[in-house]
Amino acid sequence: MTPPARKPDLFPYLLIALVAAALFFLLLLDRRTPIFATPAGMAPFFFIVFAIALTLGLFASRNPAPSISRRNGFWLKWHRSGPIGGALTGLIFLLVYWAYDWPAPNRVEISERRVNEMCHIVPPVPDSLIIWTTPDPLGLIPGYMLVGMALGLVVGLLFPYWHGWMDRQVRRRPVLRGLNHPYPSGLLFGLIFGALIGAWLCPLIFSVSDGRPFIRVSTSAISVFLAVAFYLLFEVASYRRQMTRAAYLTLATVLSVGVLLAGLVWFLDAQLGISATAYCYFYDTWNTQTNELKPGWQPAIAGAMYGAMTGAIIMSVASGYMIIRNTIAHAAGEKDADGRKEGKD
Amino acid sequence: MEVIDSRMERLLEALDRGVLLFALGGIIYNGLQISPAGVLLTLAATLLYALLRNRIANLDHFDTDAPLLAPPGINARRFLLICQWLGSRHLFDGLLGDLVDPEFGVTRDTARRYLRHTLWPAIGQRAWHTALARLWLDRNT
Repeated sequence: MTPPARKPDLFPYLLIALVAAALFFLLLLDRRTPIFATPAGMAPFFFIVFAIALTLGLFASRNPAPSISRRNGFWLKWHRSGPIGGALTGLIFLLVYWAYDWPAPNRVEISERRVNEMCHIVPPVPDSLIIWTTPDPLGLIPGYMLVGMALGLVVGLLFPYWHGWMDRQVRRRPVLRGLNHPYPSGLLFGLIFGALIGAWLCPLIFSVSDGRPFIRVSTSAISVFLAVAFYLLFEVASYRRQMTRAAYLTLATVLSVGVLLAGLVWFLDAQLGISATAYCYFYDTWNTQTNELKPGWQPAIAGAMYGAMTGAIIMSVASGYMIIRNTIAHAAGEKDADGRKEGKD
Repeated sequence: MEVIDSRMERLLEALDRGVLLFALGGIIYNGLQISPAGVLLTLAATLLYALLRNRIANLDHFDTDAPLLAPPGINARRFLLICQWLGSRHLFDGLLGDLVDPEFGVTRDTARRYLRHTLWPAIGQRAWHTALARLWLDRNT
């Protein structure tokens, strides 16, 4: 008797691919030079990459939508995994922040130390008002993990309610039917809650003013993608015995969309210098005498945009878990139905 | 599950046109700006898009659970993989059908030679005709 054929285990390859993608970003970021001669030259490239992300997104969202009534144990334990995933995200965020934005001989930092040359401030900010030291990165670990945990808790507690609310709205208004799928629902959640949290948190972080460099927009995008993608892989790994071909395909699609979104943000940042512009925008509303943000809506609006971008990337990857879980559950359901049918025959 | 329905197919065809026009524009513009990295990146992104689109369009057309019947000397899995990513079901069936002809498929060598000489030109021709059709330049459509 021949032994049954073993199903290939693709997880190690996926992990390696993710690490390779991370190294690719490392190489790209280390160069720190714009690739296209002019920003206009980047526009066609931007459109094509957007088209790839759109095609993959459409393909991912055409997988079967989850049925809320199914209780087969595959649901992500949001209450548990939200804070843990958030803390992990905070830690990876800090690691990437330290790798790319922290002062080093081959890196151009965005910080108060360069504010006069970067933002062309007239009259220049005097040396006595500039903080010349940087804090110890190790000392930032608890703060980043706590903030990550708090944000993860928000996602863990609120997203199930949000998704349920979306489902009810869709049942009442069939015209919105595309929104009850986890992907658009998650993206919308990420955009709205990201904007709300960013409007509150970004000015707060900016006003800490302990000499740390400004976190580049691209650093944020890459950090959250890497953190949530690794977390997604580890969560899905517990179901590796049930993973089907369709589930692997969905996982690859979700990760590809995340890579593309993070890559787009990186390209836009490198080509158009969005981070430096954002820093100068924040600094315009900065009171150098008191080291506090001046009152007004401008920092909150910039923070909301920053938060919405980060939230969209986080949720586009995190909602992938629900789609993958559903694909597995769908396959398991079909298998059960086939088994019952065979039993009857 | 039908992955792509006809309405979605029309939408994606419009997207293909946009990508093709942007790719041509981007390559010409970056070429004029003497930015080889820009030209190469635009080209790479276009090829990636084409590969992805073709693979997704082929998802419904290839039943991978069915046993693969190919004449001796032909690596059916490799041939299938190439057709899934770069060609189509039509091309796959057509070339396999040709190998039934004793003139092409009677020995391992003739079958291999026939595929080597026809597969890649057929893939290239298909890609060229698809690009022309997307640009409204194909006289047969």
